Amino acid sequence: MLDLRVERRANLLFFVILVLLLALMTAQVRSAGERRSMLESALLVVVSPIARGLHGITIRAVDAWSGYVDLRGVVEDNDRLKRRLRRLELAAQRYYAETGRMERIGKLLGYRPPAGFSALYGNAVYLDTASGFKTLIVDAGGDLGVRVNAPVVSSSGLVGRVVVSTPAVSKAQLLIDSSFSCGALIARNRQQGVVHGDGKGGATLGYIPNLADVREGDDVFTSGLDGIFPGGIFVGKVREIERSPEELFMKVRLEIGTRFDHLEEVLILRNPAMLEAAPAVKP
Amino acid sequence: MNALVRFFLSLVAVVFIHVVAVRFVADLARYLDVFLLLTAVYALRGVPATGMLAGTVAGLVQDAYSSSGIYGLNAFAKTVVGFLLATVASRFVIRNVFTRVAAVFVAALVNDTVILLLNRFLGQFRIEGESPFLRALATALLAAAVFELQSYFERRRVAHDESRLVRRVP
Repeated sequence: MLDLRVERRANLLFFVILVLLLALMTAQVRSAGERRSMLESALLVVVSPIARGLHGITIRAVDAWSGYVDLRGVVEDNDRLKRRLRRLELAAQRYYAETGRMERIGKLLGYRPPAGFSALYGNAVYLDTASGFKTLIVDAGGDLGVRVNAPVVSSSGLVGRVVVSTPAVSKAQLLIDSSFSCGALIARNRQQGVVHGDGKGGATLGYIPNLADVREGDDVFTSGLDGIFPGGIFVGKVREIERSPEELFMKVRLEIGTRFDHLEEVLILRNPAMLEAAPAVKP
Repeated sequence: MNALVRFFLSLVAVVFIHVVAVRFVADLARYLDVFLLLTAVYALRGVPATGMLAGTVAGLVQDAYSSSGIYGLNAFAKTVVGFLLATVASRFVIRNVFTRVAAVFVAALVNDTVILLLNRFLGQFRIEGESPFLRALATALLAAAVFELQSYFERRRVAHDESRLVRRVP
């Protein structure tokens, strides 16, 4: 009797959870993905410290491990010299790494944000381009004025847009994500279209009429007509064009400017008008 | 240790493994669903409420790490998987490692099927990635290692308890 009651309760709980989750999902579908749930933001606040902590730990662990491996097996009589050499090598590696980093940051700082926007520097603490959902977590959040829909750029072009902003970190949807889209145009002839991520590491430029003059190598920039991304951000170059007589529009595949596998630092573009429109989520 | 605390520690470990896998071996993360494994470990205890709640929480955390699409998709799939697996485990004896690994394999396939159906139902976006069969296989292989480890610690605990009992008997 008791077992039956427990089983019934479990079944009831099961259906309640499913209905709640279904309601949560359909609410997002109805708002076309613009309204992200508070639950998602709250959970991101909880789980992001792990990613942030790991960012620091891995750098130290790799340093410590390479130091350990490098010094193992050193012959005793030239131990001092070899150690000195290793130290110099490590210092040189660090110097080259820092130089590269400084160059990247320099390029980012040299970036002039579009009118009405200010740029905020952030480190990519978690980047997942392998799974179905392309995610980037940046160590800059609502406390620094990052709001939902803020464009994210790198020195080599568009990265994506912020979809969740918590006080300490923000989560961005990458340009290569299959549900990403933004207004774009071909710089040479101002032909307008819509960029879609293909979910496989690339992107396509849609709604370009079959008769339009598009050539391989054409530069594609954001058009600024979608109300989220300012115009003039480099997206990529036209890599492949496919015309079909049965279709109204051609298929244009892009070679994206940003190299996501080398993404370490980004700029988040802040717009004062957006700050008032979308307040950050406080946990 | 409190069961709830143990679950959250396991969840933190799973998040850690997921983040490490993504950072160092991106392809490995594509094939493995560690959140599903956590759900399966709890569901195989044979208590439907435990299985489904473990699935819901693990799924919600997994969803927090994915950027786009619909929040709650993984939570829904893992709730279903947790509940079904726990219900099966409460009716049949699933104790040896082989049957548990087979159960994880089937659970992984069910998980991907539920996600696929939900996507169709909600008509929002498509799922890319590796074949569900390969992902289920890889997750099941990892499950084999986890279950072996689990049973090793279980055996050690039992042996320890027995030795304490023997020492107490004059």
